[in-house]
Amino acid sequence: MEPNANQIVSQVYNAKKDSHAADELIEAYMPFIRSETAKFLKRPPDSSDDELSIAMFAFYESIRNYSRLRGSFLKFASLQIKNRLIDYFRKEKRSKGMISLDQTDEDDKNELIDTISDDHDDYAETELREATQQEIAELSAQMNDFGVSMTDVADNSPRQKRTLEICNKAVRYARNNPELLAEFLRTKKVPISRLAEGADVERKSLERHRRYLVAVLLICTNGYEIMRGHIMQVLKGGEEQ
Amino acid sequence: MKYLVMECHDSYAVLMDEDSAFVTAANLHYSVGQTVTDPVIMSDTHTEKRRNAIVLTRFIAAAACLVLLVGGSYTYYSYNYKTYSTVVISSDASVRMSLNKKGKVIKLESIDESGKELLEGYDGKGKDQVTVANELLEIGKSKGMISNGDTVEFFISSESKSNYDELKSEIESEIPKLNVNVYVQDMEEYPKVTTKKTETTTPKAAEPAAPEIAPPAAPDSNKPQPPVPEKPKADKAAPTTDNNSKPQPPAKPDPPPTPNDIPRDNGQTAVVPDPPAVPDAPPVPEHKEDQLPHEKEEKPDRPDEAMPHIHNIVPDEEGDTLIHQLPVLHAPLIRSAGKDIEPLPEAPETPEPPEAPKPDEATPLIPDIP
Repeated sequence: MEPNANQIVSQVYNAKKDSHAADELIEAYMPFIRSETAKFLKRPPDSSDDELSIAMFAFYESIRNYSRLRGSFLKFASLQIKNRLIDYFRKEKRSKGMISLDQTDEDDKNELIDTISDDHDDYAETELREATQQEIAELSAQMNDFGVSMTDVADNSPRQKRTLEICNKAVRYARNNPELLAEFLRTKKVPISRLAEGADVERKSLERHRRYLVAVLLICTNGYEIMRGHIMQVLKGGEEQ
Repeated sequence: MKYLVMECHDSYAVLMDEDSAFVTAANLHYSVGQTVTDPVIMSDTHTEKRRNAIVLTRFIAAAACLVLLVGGSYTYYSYNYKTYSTVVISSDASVRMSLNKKGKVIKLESIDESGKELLEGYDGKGKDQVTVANELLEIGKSKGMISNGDTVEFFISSESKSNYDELKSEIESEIPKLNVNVYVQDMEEYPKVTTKKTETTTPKAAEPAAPEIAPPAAPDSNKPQPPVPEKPKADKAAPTTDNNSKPQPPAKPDPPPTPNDIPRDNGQTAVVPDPPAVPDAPPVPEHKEDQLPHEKEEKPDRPDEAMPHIHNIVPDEEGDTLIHQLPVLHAPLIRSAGKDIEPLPEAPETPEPPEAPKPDEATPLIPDIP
């Protein structure tokens, strides 16, 4: 089952640091992931099955959380996949009483979604999504200039509410002081000390989440209206102050 | 909460929530720019640690609750169900009340048959000790066990002095209202009083004082052994008279004659085999002689004077002749007894003049012995 355990472990440790390596490892172990999903579903998984997506995500999670102390990687990954699928199954079971909009009506043989009056504009929605995608692409490109990827930001994002509030406080202070944002764009460095001093927060807390601050401060600059609208509550807090 | 899909990979997607927090979630066929709700978010090691911390906290909380529960229940038990003090009501009928820390009766038991009769059909559990005592005395009165003016004794034992005093003051203040004489004592006195009672069989007022005096008197009359300290002088003088009545009287007049007798003894050195015979007789007095010398050694100022009186002179079998056991006791005398006569006159020379009056003073003892 494990021809070269050391090789897998070294690949896993590489994938921990590099998201591309992680994607490659997942691609390489897709048969394993499919077989684990099939064990759970008791049928071969289809590529459109959410369970397969969950299993792939569980495999990625195992890469991130694995350490040599946990024993064989594949056994660890197998257990993770199984647990994730069980959790997903339970979660879906809770919403079992609900009717799917894709379900067909027995009499008319029409889908339920067709019977509901549709107020929203598909064209506008598609346009909005395209605009959002454009914004995100611009942001990603700008983040690359700062040497930060989305995955890095996700890893560096504060987990605790208290820390998140500290960072948001600093972001609000920067938004209320456009010269700080200008300096940030010019120097491509987060003015941690000035933010900490101005927002009256701990410098150390901001330093720990520097990459996260890069992303949010960039969103606060001009050109990212849609994303700013998404995090309006955070920015509103700044306006109230 | 709504999440904006920021980046999509094969196995995961990066989402941004409305609080501007970035998370990694399962890519359930998402596309960038899509807004999703209820994603499957990654549980990283950090959240695992937090989960473990939560489990640990819960465990500690449960342990703390258990400790509190046990501690609380023990405290409740010790306050309500554990015997903290005991009161014995002693009259014709004797009853023992066990009280908890609050002073409530938790157990009532009879000590004698009359007590059983008194407690028949009565349950005083949970009541105040004074109430129970009052009710019991009332019942006793109604059953004819107690009448007005009788003496009722209370014996108290408690784990604390303050509680003892409290119980005592309560009893002394409340019980006399029933027209009975109340005597409150420590529980240590209880056995003595009961033994006295069994002797007298009729408990009456003013007696409780007597028992305290009585106990010491009884042992004196029954047991002659304890008075060892003072009487041994007379007592031991008497027994010695049984076996060696004669030897001692002459022992005290001896000192004056010793100088004269010594030559006699020397003349009778052939009789020397007598000393070995002497030990046969003295073994009985040995014990008493052991005591006597100690007493007499203390009295005389000069131990050298005392020694010849007691140890150096031993009665003959007939009681007439005296033989000095000088070789045994005094090193210088050993020489004299063995061969040299010189040391012997030395011994009488020095001590005798002062010794002479003493035997005279001691002579009054001689007539006492017969």
